[in-house]
Amino acid sequence: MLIGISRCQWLLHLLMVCGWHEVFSLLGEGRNIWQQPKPGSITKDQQFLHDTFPPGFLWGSGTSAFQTEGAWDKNGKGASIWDHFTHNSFTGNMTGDTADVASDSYNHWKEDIEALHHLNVGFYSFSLSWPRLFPNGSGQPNAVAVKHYTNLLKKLQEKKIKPVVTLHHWDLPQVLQEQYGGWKNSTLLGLFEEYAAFCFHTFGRDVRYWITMHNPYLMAVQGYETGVHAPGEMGGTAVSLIVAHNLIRAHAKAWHIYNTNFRPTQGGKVSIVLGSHWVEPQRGQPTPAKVDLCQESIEAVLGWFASPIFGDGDYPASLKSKHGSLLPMFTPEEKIWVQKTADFFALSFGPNNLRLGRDLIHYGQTVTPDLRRLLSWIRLEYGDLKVLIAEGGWFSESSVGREDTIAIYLMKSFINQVLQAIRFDGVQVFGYTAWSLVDGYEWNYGYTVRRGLFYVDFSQPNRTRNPKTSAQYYRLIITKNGFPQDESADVAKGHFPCTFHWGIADSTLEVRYFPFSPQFTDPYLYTWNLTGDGSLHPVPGVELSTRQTQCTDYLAINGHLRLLSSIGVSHYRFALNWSLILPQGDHSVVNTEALRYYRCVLKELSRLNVEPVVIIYYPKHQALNMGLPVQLYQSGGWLNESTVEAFQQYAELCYQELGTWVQYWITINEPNRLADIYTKGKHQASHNLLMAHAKAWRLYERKFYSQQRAKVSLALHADWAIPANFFLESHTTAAERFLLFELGRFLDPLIGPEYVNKPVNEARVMDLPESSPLSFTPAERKELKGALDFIALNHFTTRLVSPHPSTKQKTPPDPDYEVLSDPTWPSSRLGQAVVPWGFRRMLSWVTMRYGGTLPIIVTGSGVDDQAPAEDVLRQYYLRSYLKEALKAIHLDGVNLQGFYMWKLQDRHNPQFGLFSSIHHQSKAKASVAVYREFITNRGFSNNDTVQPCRLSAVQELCSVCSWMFRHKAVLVFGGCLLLTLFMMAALIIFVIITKKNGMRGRERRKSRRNRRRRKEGPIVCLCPSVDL
Amino acid sequence: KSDGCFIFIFTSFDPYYIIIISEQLAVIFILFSKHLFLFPGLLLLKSVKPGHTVIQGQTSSLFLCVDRAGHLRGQSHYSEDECTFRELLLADGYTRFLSSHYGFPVSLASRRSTDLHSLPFTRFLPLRNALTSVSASATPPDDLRNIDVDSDDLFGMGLNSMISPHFSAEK
Repeated sequence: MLIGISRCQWLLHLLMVCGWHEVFSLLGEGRNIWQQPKPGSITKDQQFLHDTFPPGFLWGSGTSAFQTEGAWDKNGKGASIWDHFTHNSFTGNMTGDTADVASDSYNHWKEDIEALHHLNVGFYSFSLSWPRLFPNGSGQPNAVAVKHYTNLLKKLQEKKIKPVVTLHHWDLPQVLQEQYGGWKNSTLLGLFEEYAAFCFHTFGRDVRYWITMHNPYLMAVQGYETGVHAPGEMGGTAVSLIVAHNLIRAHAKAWHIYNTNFRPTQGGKVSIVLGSHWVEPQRGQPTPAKVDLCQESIEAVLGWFASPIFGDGDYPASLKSKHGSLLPMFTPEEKIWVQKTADFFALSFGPNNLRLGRDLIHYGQTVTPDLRRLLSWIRLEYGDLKVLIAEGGWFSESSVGREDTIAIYLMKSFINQVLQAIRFDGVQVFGYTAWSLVDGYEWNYGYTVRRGLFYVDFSQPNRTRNPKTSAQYYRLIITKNGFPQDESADVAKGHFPCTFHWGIADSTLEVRYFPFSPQFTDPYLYTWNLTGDGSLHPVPGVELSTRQTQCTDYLAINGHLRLLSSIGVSHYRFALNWSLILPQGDHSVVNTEALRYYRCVLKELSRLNVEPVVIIYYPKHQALNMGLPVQLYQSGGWLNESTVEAFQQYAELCYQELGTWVQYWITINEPNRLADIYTKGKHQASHNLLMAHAKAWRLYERKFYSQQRAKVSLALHADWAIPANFFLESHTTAAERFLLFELGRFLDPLIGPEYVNKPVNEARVMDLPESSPLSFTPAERKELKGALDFIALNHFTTRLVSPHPSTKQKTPPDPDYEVLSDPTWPSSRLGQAVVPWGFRRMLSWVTMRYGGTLPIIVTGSGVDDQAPAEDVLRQYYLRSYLKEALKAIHLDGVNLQGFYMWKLQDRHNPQFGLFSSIHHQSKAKASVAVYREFITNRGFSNNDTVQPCRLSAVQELCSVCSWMFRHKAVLVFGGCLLLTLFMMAALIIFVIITKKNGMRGRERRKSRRNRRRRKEGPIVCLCPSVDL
Repeated sequence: KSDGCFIFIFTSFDPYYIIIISEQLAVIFILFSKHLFLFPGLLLLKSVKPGHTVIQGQTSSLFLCVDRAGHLRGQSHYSEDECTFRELLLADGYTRFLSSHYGFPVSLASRRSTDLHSLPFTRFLPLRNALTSVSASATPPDDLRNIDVDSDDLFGMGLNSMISPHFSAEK
């Protein structure tokens, strides 16, 4: 690949020259990036891309001389400005660290090459130390240093690792600083040219990629303006502008000398590494003014150097107007001489530029780590160039050792952004440099941060290189050449079963007596003074009989449930309010009004042919007293055993009063979340909650099952978990522990067959202070065993699980893990990651552990979406999660029998609701139609034709009823007509008969006719009464 | 806070009041028997912090304030204690405006009763707005929220916590 490129060099060059004038006109085009709003995170080209890099893509890693070499004064090396800077406390060196030894790469360079070999990289990017080669800046080269770099290059060649060599990575010989004032002086142009020519001449035979200098922006600004870097001058903008001007011209000189003297024989490429940050318009609003500021921000950093070199040979207009006469000018000859002096675009994108960008040149906009958008900007601004990511990566705190979990995800994210830029945006990126190979001296951060793929213990004299987990991950990416789809792409086929619950999940149903229809409740008769003052006066002494209040008087019920029927769901899950029904906690006060309201809801549901699933106790964190009656809460809540007894009484009341209409009961919703609230006594709370459920279940079985035949369960919060760092056993264990703690803690005592004799390895996994997480007496165990009719799970997302970092204090009852989120997963506004495959894995895990006998019902699942109507994220969630549910049913044999979408309606602003809030007119969002389609097709519409489900006997009867109900008027009319005709006929016959038989039996005939009239009723009232 | 328009109707048998509040502007109609009074002016409702609003006359620029004795009055200078009201959404769909500092409800009746809850004419019923003007609130793109370039956890991976939308639902 490399050789191929070098052969095409001249042709390429010719093309570039031809296309040059086009490139000019592109300047300023970069702003187009911001003008279009960024598409949502779930659009195809924004999601994590499972694909490989183009064949021949170069993978590498890099270091710089000063950061890693050490041996600052060994073998005739001269001091660099950084040596001077770090040795003097009066300079701006803030950490006090020196790089005298650093990673000691000068002595351990062979281990560096071994590390590269371990990674399986294609190239190594390193820098030559100018003061090591020329201790006096120029003149006689240091033969030992030449030998060192020759050996390094030879060894790399042996290992088939291509070198990418930087001439100047900030370590200017100190003598040049002292003699000339460093890069402020244009004398350095000639000296740099001389140094470059020497390097090209000496090493050029083995080098195809040369970098003249690394990140001149940071050299100019941090070195001469802020003084944070060597030489630590705080000369202000005027000085940094001059320094930059000299750096650009020095680079051009080096390029020209290579182009003229070395390219014909060596055929390599020369470029300069430019660093940049990235910005997005403030608050995501791309107003013209903000777009201009974004453009200016990037021009002030990247454009400063890229515009002369890759653009029109001059500084960006925005820089000229900003700095006026302070900005040095290129002469017309210089412009032509400077432009196109780079054979590819080399980009550095890392913490140094992003942090400085955030501090100095954000122009009020938001600095973001969006490498992909920056690459697009470069393409728009400077044309279709070949791009090398010459420095990519972030940093870890120094305390992070080899287990650098977060670095893995940052690498994943950055490299995937590059892949997206290649595949979707057409940016020609040809290589990626993971920065850096080994931990080293991190400039102004000293040793407080680490950027290496290999860990170096700076207190150890031999500076052993140990691969971090991010090195293992990088190796994996290189081996696979990207992120190919590793999961076998199972196709979701088939349909959901006919009996599948298509549900909506709601929280505690608000009991709303108002608005209330007051008709027929006012017993007075009024006179209306219509022509006079218009007032109403009750007529004294007259009292009308009033009607009993009816379910239809609660206008809220109908308004709420009408939304349900418009989706076409078969099931509706809602919760009762314990503290409302039993305000005192016991039966001393029973709120019969509330019970009546709930009864009305249940009746209305049955009229709508929607099956209710009723949660008896629905705790909520923000709710008053966590939804408990106040007395119970005050006496310790779930830490107090008497609450178990109180719950049993409450459940009995619910069964008694509402059981007729309920086929599915859920005793307690998410006891695993509730128990977590009790930071002290988590186990006690879990224990009591479990016992409360079991007792309520037993009670139902004993007293109500024979008549009501409902199924009773408890619903668990069931997110999926995977190890955050898949290279570490400890993370795998933590993920297992997570699942056992979240689900096993509650399900094992109820339906885990092996719970009593828990295998030893699981006890280890639980890692809890007691021998078992929850201890039960034999009697309790018996009561718990089997007390579950179906497995109810509320699933929302997948989490990364890692063990607690050892630094954090672990409180004993807490499970030993912490949760993280993968930043490459699309996520909602509330931070919920949308991970469809996790849903399937969770279902499979439950099935594996507890068998497929008990049905699983997902009693709550959904995502928040800010969109008031076009809820794209929720539509995606619904489609992708249901697709995984289908796979779970058909491919994994999961006995999944229901899916309840959380939830019906927003309370205020757009969040989880399928319908907007009442304040926003209860409008159906777009996902309602998606859900409705799913229900109609029992799956995806593009599948083969749906086998219609056979209606059950009850439903058939109901369909006849509903037909009759619809044609009520016609039926009545027809009935009456028939009757009348019959009567007429009878009358005629009767008249004829009476005429024949005279006037006998008049009394008898009368009564017979009356009897016939009464028959009118039964004919009309064949259907059940519709009044509630 | 909310971007629709509301019509507040104060329901009672007689007299009753209708307050029409469109987006931020309010017109007060008072229907007393069959006489319709149109109060001169529009009221501006502004949220100062979650749940707390300031009510200001649009033409008079007077703030609606309540003093220590519970008397409502218009006042030209804004005082946080006296001129902010807590908007209380009642379970039945009505709202009450209570003085943030003193707790007196805004009532359209002269105050005779001492019991705050039985004080008449304090409940306002928000009705749906038939006029459409839903402005999409501009917020930063989702992926920019947790970014911290000073942290080694650049994307805020560690900000995840075990939250269930059921258990920790919207307030």
